[in-house]
Amino acid sequence: MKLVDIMCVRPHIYWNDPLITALSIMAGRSRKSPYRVVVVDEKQRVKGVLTGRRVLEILIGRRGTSLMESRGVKGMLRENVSLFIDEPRPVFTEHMPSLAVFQYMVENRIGFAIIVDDNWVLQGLVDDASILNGLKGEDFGLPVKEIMTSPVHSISPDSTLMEAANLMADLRVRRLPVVQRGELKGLITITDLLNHLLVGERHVELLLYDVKIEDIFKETVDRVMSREVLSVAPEDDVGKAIEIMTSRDVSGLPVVSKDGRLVGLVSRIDVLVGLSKVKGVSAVFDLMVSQLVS
Amino acid sequence: MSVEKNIEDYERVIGRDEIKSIMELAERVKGAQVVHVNATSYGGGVAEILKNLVPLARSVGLDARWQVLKATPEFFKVTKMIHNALQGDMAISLNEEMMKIYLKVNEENAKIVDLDADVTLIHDPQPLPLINYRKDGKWVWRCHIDMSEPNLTVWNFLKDFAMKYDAVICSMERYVPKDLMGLKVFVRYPSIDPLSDKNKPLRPSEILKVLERFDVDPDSPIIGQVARFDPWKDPLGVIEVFRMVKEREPKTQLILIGSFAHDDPEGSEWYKKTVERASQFKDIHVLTNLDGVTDLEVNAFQRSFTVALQLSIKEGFGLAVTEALWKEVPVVARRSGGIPLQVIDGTTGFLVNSLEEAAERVVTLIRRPWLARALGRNGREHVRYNFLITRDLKDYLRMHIDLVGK
Repeated sequence: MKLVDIMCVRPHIYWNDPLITALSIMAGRSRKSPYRVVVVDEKQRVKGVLTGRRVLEILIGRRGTSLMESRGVKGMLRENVSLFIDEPRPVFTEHMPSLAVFQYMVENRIGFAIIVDDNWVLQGLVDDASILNGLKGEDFGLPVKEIMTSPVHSISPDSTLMEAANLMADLRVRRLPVVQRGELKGLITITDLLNHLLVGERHVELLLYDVKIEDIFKETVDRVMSREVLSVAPEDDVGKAIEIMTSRDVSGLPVVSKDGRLVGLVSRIDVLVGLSKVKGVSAVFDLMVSQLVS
Repeated sequence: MSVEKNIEDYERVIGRDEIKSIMELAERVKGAQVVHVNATSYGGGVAEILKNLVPLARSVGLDARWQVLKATPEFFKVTKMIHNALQGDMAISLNEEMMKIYLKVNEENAKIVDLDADVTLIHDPQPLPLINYRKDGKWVWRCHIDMSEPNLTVWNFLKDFAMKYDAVICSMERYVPKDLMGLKVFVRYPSIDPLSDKNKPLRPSEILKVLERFDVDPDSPIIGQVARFDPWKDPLGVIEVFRMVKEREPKTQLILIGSFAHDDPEGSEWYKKTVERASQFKDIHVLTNLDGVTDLEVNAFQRSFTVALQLSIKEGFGLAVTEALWKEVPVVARRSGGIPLQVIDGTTGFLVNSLEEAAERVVTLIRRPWLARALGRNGREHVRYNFLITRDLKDYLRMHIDLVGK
């Protein structure tokens, strides 16, 4: 199987696009809004990667601080994304064997790989979501508790959005379960926070006036969090987690015990790494390939 | 300590447009004063990076310079312990006297090292307490060590210094200490300079000359490891692998290359241990900078390797692996630190879990040169797309824009 057969196409942005464009793409209301976008130049050559966390960090003053001091939020939203991106990594050419790319992602717990041609022109991505799509409908005989991340950090529904944003930046995570008195009440993600900036045309105000992010993010977490939380039980098979993640297009699920306690989190990359450890990288890859072929 | 570099020379490696985008970023921080401080001017990955990165930064308009700590052997003894503790040696504890030496040397260096800059980059834990003498500008701690499971007693002592910095750079996501709340964190892969003496293309005659000089047979298989003489790099394990390979491929030769860095007091002790063990076998060459092995010779030796070994038990990133892959040499390595980012099992080399497995893989590659060539080609491509210094420079420029850009 060639690399092109497991690649997917995701939205990308141009390196001279303003930050507001990135925000609009990444904070859409659809679950399909990308958390991460590849940044290309006018010839579609890959120049970098921008994540939702980076956009959030910029807006709350944790990145680009020097520019923020002189420009404020409205100036930052007009700046080119090329100033804020990370160098693109990992990058593979389309000649690389597909198993090697899959193995690389699993070995290094990296959720995506950028595929280019010999001139750095973007060909597509291989990401954890597209791989999981090739693993659905299976029973692996592996309970979620074996592969979940535990313990997990959580936040109270009474905390402010600014506190949630800072906590996600500090912990370098993209989602926080919302817990009150030990019970899971909801889930808040970086995309939710970015989306909050678009709701009610707040981003227009951010672009035109000297609005402070702190003022927008002073609302409490329970106003923004998802209340309908998709979750799995620790004893559920990993196949069930894959089914929910792929059919509902979510990148991670809280793991909740029978008595409603949050006991862990399981993400797409947790699933791929965990399955590969137990079943072997080649076996998981072959399974994905057989599903794609059929 | 460093040579002149010209960013234009890199056009043939990365293309005109990439040079243009570097210059556009550099324009935003033109003239910014940047000082890098580390513990040694040669030996090890950090000196290797700075030797190339600083002149390259100067060539794009930054006022960059490199300062090295002046310190006593006692200080380096302590900092080596700190290094080992951060890498996970839980048995280490620092007593009052050790802490005093560590702080005192930093205090003295604060008086003699020119720290007046817009951005001060402190590399690794040796100069970490210099932050106490900060006058102005932004300070960044660049930690090259695998800190995924640090000795917490030692880390808690260092954390107070780290928390005073504006930002921290780690080589991998999992190395980022979980308790650095509120700090800016950058995750940056180290890189190699394709035009440095260590990595530039060499003519076959230049390689042969070096092999002849050190009495290495160019017509027999050569395996080798380039690393400090240090228990974490497992030089004795490399010799054991050689012993097993030699039983099946009797003509094989082993080259172990290391250098004595100022900041590595264990170096000579482990060099002696390595030489002693090596003396029990034929065809092992243990070479150092004291034998006249400079960057050019390392380059030549690496190009002569049939297989490169990197059997480090702990590794920050493993730039010697990057260097070997760049030279189209397949690498057999343990799964430590940043090595799996570079060695893709079965594609650019082999990742192994034991010395026996390493020996098996080496024999395979010696007996199947076509396979070694294929892995080598993949390795060079992987480095070209991910680990060249020009990428590192762009990341640094973006960080400078973040901290002091106008």
